[in-house]
Amino acid sequence: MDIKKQKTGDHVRDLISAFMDGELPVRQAAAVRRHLDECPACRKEYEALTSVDHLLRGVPAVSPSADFSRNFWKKVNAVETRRSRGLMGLMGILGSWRPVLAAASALVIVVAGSVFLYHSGSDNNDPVMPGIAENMTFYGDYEIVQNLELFENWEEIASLDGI
Amino acid sequence: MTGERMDADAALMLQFKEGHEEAFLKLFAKYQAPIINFCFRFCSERTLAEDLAQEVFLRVYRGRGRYRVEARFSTWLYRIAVNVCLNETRKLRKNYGTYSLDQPANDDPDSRVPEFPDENQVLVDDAMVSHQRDERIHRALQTLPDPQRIALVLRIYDEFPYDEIASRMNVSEGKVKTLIFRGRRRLREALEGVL
Repeated sequence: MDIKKQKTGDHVRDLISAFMDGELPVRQAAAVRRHLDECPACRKEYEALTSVDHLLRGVPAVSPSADFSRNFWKKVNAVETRRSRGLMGLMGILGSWRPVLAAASALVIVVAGSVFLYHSGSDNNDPVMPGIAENMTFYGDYEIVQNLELFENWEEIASLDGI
Repeated sequence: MTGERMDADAALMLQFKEGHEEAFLKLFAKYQAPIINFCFRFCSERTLAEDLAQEVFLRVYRGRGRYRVEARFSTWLYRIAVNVCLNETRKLRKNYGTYSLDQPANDDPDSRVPEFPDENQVLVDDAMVSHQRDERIHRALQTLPDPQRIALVLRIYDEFPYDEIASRMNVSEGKVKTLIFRGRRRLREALEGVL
């Protein structure tokens, strides 16, 4: 609160609560104290609020009941059991799906392997037949592949009429 | 808390995080009464307060893996307590049926006024008066909005300064000042006749 203002007779009601709690800066607290000495209305307010604090502080504290600790540990056990059951349940679900997961894993491996093999051949300079030299076994069923030796004399064959 | 000396309770919490359950037991023993009382002053029901306090410690127990020393342990603990009181009270209160401010706030057998023999009638009267006054104060506290009640309880019963209340409530110091000021004024009106 502005001390100059206080001298003109303003009240300090808004500051009384913080004053009671020792939360005002030293100079402001001193100004409020002076005002309380001079102003019956503010002093009455201060005394009423102080009485509220006294009343509240007079209400006795409660002690933990005898079974507070036991009940707490029961709750801890219940939560931990539920958590471990949840984990076991998850493991069980994973277990019952084992054949499906195994098949899916195998499929992933095959697809990944094929992609890898396909891309490893892409370093080849021939953009039309990438990696064919490395993958001859995959094409073994085709007749042309089985008779590649016939192409050894390709130039002679090509020179013949009709080709 | 880099560069500052870690408080002993935070060190215990770190030990608990590393698997030393006895460190948790020490914290549990130290803070159970303050947290139960904080919850009791918030909700005015003994059984509910213990349920809330157990929920606070359950969160500490389960949250040990995520614990980081960013403030004093008590600040962290009370922040959990504030959250639990604000978020769980209504949920847990359903377990106890409807709560009315017209009814005595505390039906717990442990907190009932004991029955004295007839020759101690004066003591009975005193106890009754004191019990009724406490009930009225509890009911008056219940008329405050939750944040005002929490700020006042932390100030008046736990005697924390405004900056620590602000940390515990995750609000500014200015807000705390206003909450406490308004809370006191409202209580003054609610307790008219008792003062």
